[in-house]
Amino acid sequence: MNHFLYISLKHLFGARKTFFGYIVTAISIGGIFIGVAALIVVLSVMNGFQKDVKDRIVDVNSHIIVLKYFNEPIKEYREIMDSLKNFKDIVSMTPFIYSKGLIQFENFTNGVIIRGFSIDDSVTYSIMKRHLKFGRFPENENEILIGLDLAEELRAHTFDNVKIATPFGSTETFGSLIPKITEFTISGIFDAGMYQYNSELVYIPLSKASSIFGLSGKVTGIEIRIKDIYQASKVAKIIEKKLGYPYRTNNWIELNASLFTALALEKKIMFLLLLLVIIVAAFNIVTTLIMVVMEKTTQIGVLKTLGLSEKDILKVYIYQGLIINILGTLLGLIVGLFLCFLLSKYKFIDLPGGVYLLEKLPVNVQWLDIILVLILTNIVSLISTLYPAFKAAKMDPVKAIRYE
Amino acid sequence: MNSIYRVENLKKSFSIKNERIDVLKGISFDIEEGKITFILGPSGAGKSTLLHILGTLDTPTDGKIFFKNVDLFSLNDREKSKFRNQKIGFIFQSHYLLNEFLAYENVMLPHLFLTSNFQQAKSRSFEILNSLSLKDRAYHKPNELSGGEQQRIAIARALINDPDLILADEPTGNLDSKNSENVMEIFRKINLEKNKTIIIITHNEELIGYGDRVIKLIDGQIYNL
Ligand SMILES: Nc1ncnc2c1ncn2[C@@H]1O[C@H](COP(=O)(O)OP(=O)(O)OP(=O)(O)O)[C@@H](O)[C@H]1O
Ligand SMILES: [Mg+2]
Repeated sequence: MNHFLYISLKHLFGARKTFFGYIVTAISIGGIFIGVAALIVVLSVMNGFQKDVKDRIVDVNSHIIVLKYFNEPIKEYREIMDSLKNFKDIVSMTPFIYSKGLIQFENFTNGVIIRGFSIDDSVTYSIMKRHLKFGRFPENENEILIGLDLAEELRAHTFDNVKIATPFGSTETFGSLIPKITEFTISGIFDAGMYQYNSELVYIPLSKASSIFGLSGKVTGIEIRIKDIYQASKVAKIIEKKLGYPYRTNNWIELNASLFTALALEKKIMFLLLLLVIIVAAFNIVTTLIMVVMEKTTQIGVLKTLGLSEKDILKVYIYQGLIINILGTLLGLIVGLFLCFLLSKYKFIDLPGGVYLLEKLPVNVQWLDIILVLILTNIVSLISTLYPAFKAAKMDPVKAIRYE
Repeated sequence: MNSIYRVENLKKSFSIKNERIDVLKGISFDIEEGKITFILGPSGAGKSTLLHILGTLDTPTDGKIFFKNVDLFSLNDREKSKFRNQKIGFIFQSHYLLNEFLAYENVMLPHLFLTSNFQQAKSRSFEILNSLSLKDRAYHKPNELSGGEQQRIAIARALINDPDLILADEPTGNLDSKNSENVMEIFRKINLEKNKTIIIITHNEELIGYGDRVIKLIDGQIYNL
């Protein structure tokens, strides 16, 4: 141990003139502790939130989609899939149809997004299977899957018959469209974990979709799942290059850019707000150290007569700030991580699914965030020790010795 | 003659609200190495001020002080600190022991500042406490000791780095006659055995029998006796 640290520890934790002195030290350690713990928990929950949203979006929407310009239906989708077969980044591909329509059950009607999907595609099957809450996977052309929230709104159950209205009926003489009505049986109800999907998405077999939208065997596009979802933009570019005009791609990051920008902004704002907690805590360090300096005027003077220089005294007080800071951050780190652990293990808070996208509080501890928190906390509290430390260093030893 | 201090035309004044108080009015003297010198004088004469300047705790307004031919006030803060740490032992009227530290810890501090070696500082501290018959007080807190013991612990602390010089400002001012004698005996012993130079400020003229020389400081001027 070096002697600066030795004296610092004695000054902070050794005999104090008043009990109040100990409390002030405890408060300043506690301030840092609470700030750091809060930052870690909040940032981790926000990360978890973001990751959870991402996972759900990616699950339902796939990673990359191949479309034609102007959303022109694609007839040659088999050839496209063939030409992409040898891409090692690609895990699976499946054609899909995507359009809008109305769903009606008894007196209830709702706008829906209709997705035609290939019933024989194993990847789609396994995902849908995971989300299936009631009933079963469609087995024939006339069966439909709807979301949990939509089912609730329609007051429909499995094996009820619903009507889907699509705007691609026969053209009347006056040129207006007569909607085409098709009847489906609800074979199953899914829960994709997001209100938006659960309330608007319905799935019907691809061939049926093709026929009710008058596509005669064409599809809207091809969904592609890849190995590393964070490479989506890159892989999408490569695919686009390979296919060339008139094909284009979209990927999940691009499609949800505004949501992720909002989430990132929210996280930044929370970070700044909580940094304020740490700045307040740092003011506590200033208070504590000024208290110590005032209390120890004589001691500081005596230390100078014994041979400590101004720089040495400066060090002694910076050490004291560091001790407070290290104890505070360490406690904050431990408690923050422990709270994160508890939150992830026991789901304390249930979020209403209709209001939030998610039903439970997710936690995702990111070490980069934690390192950033620790670095910032240390910088802020180091700055806050400078003034008191400088005051102590400049203390006139004669004044200390003269009046006692 | 071998002087440890050469003081040349030393002036010190303080200003309070535009009013200047000349405390030391241009004094010159030498202090001989290995001697005990007393500084006598009435209250407010500037004795403590002089001692603080000799110990580099304060700076003169004018004049020069050479310690073994080194101009003390050409030194920077770090060098002055080193000088105080290695060459001087201070003793004041109050013991100025630090309450957070045990008796032996107080004693070892200057050595710790010098070497950063806890082991060595501790063993030296016990050596000195032993030589002053204070060994069984080593683990006491300062406020658990008697006034005489406190002052002797302070002397032990002043001696731990084996300084050339002891600067003592009324070291017996708070002590009864028996303890005062005791302290003076210690001074005499270290002066004789280790040839330490000792400068003592006192009001007590009975003590000057222990010294080799007396300087009188009256109204900022000195008079050799
Ligand atoms: N910082 C200061 N500001 C103003 N005046 C001061 C200051 N320090 C000392 N003085 C004045 O200088 C004069 C000398 O003070 P000093 O303490 O040196 O006297 P002294 O001889 O040690 O007296 P005593 O025997 O009572 O200890 C006093 O009049 C004191 O008021
Ligand atoms: Mg005095």
